[in-house]
Amino acid sequence: MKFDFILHWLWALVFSILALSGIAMAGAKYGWVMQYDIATADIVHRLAAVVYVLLTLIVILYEIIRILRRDKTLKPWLVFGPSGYGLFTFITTLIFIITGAVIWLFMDSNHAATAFTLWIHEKLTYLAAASVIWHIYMKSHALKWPKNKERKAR
Amino acid sequence: MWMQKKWFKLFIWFVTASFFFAVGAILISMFRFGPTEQEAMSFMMGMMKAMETSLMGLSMQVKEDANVQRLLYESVQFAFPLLAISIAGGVYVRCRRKV
Repeated sequence: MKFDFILHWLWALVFSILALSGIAMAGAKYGWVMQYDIATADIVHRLAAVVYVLLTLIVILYEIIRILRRDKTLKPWLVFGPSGYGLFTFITTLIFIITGAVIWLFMDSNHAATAFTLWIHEKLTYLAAASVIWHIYMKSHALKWPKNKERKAR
Repeated sequence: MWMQKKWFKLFIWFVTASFFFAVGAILISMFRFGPTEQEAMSFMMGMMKAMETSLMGLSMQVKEDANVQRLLYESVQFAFPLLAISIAGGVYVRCRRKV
């Protein structure tokens, strides 16, 4: 069982939960996604965000350990990478976490900061969601259902 | 190996479909008319409920309570050095191990 493989799919699941619960809170036009139950969306979004931050910490620590041990084995499932989609994921994740923390901490004290970071957080969600669709398209071979060899042999 | 298992394939299909739903929801919401007055009211009601019963309201109450704030401040004073020591210890142990 590969650690990077598990991290990848945990990441995908948590990001999907974050995207759906976040969209429901984006405005009156979007509330239908969770039937205007903003309270549930808020709890789900914050809990998933904590898991998201923990996963980020784990991936970063894992990379640091790999660098310290001079481990140069290829990890194709690792979420962050030095180039391409891995780099994009890394940058967007950091922006998501920083803007999310500002929204969470300053929601009722600094309205200007909250409004600005909310705008970035929301627009980045649309960009990240579109990029995930592209990522799925590029890796669509993973969606192929396994062929039943026994039945075929008969 | 997991990628060939049927239950795992089902999981991949599920996660993929959820992303397509998310993008579909964004596009539909973005380009449709509205929101109607009823939708705006429902959203505002949802927000009001969230302020009372969700973490959104709880975090606001926490910020107003001086005792809880002091407790949080003192906890952080302990937590950060402990966290730093744990991370440093963990990295050291992991690097010292040969396997």
